[in-house]
Amino acid sequence: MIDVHARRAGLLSVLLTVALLLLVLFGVLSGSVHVPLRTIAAVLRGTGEFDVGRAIVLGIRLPRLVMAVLVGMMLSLSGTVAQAVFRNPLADPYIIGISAGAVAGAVLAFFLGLPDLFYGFFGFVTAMATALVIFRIAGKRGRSDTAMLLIVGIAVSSFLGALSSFAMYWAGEDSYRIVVWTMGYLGGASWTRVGLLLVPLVLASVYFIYLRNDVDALLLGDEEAHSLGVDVARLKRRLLLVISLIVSFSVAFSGMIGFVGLIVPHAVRLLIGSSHGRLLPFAALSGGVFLLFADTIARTLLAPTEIPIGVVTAFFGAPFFLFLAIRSGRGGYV
Amino acid sequence: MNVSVENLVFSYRSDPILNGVDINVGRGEIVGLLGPNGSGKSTLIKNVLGFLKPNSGRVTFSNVGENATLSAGDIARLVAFVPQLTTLRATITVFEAVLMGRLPHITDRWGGYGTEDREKALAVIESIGLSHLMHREVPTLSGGEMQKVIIARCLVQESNVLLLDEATSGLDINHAVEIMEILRGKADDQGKCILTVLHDINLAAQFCDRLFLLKGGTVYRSGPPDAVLTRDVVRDVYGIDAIVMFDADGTPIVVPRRSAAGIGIKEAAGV
Repeated sequence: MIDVHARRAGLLSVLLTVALLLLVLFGVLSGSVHVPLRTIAAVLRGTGEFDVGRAIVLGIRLPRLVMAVLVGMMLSLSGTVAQAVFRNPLADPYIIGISAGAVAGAVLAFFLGLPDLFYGFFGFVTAMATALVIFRIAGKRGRSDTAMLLIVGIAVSSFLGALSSFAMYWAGEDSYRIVVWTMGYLGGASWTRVGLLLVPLVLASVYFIYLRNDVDALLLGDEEAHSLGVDVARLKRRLLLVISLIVSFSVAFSGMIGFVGLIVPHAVRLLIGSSHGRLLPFAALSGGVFLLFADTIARTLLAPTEIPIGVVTAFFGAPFFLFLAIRSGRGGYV
Repeated sequence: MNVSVENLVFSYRSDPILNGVDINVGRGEIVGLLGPNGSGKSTLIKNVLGFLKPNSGRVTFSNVGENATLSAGDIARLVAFVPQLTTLRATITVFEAVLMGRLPHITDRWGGYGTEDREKALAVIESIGLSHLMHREVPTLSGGEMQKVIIARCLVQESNVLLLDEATSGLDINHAVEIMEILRGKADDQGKCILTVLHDINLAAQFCDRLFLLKGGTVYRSGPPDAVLTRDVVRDVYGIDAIVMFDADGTPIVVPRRSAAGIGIKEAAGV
């Protein structure tokens, strides 16, 4: 018998690569200004004279595409690991309130008039605090009870959402900046922001991959993980810290984009299994491709009007979430 | 290797669970922990495992030391643990689940499991008779198969001590006997020292060298099954009337008798 997971992983990597290439190609070609394919080819080769087309492709379209992929990777990775920590397939940072925690910090940094980078750091502190509160209430007894997790998620998100709404009211004319955070928007992409996202993403990926076998052990439950030599409490705290880091940076620069951390890890797990050595890279890549796809729809469906990307992901994600919630009651997989 | 538990006291908040328990398990021995629900059996196992920390008393592994001084990783190389039958809902294959038993032996976290680890996992899968299921996802297995996977994982762990918490509960009788036979073989051939919580008194009588009967957080009786399992002891510990017979080998067989109210039967079945 052949390992089905390995075979599907091979197939999935081909599909993802093709999808990524097609989406990038479509992404650089499409937009309100027509840029000829010749110019794009020249830009991608690194040649060609300076012109408007080149500026559009290099300065606007490409960073946005790259940022969509990076944010998608971060959301998907954070969901994958959070689901192992909580041992619950519904533990997506967006649903359980960690993202709302990050928004609160970013909004605070915005009010203090701090530069971009601080949105991420402030978001990190508040996301981390939120994650620990959620874990303390809903994650203590090994496997998190789905109802408890969702109730805590609703409560935390509502509370923090109220703070953000108050901030919007307070902000007056500037309130659109906060609205963007609550709905998700990739239009603010720049190479600087790509760089700011890349650092936490690389750090987190390396950390998760390093601990992949320990994260696998968490799937067995606290006692069994302990019996395999894992210091469970310490590992979970550290993983939550790193999850908060990537969630907060993705939220700080692209706002709250829901359901990616829920749909993508779940679908990938069904295809290639829960072993994190394989799951993490595939979940990351799939998350990147999925968000790029969602952003393409957001930009082009009602062009020139742009749909907030959080609306697009929620459109796909919410029905899936419902499906999972029903299934999880009967024993969904992590 | 032997394990000794000395004067162990443990309480959850202010509820005392274990009140000074002394137990020892020698090399090549299977020791059964019996007692009604709530008598502290599982709590004792978790204390030996180091998952729970006792209020006082100590757990010592000969030649190595007290478990309080050891890290989770150190203990995992000495002690493996088989929980009660649970439905593992992670989509991992049988091979991946068994390979996890090598986790305490990974020295290089970057490299992960090495060739030697994989070969050991394959050998145990073969010896337990799981080869045909190797690439199956664990959640699709039956209860008996799933429990054999967990046993295989513990054997791959290559620890000298095995702790089992009602590992055969919820299994049908042939799988329960099969699992106990595997354990008996490991104790006899490899000198493993095995401490197991059991609900089935007769299974315990057949496979264990010694039994410890717990009642109210203390050891009520201990010794070889034929010395411990008397009608009086069964009544005192479980609160039921039972007939104790002996088979041809002198192994006791305990048959609960229905009391007037019918309560006895329920109690013996662990309801």
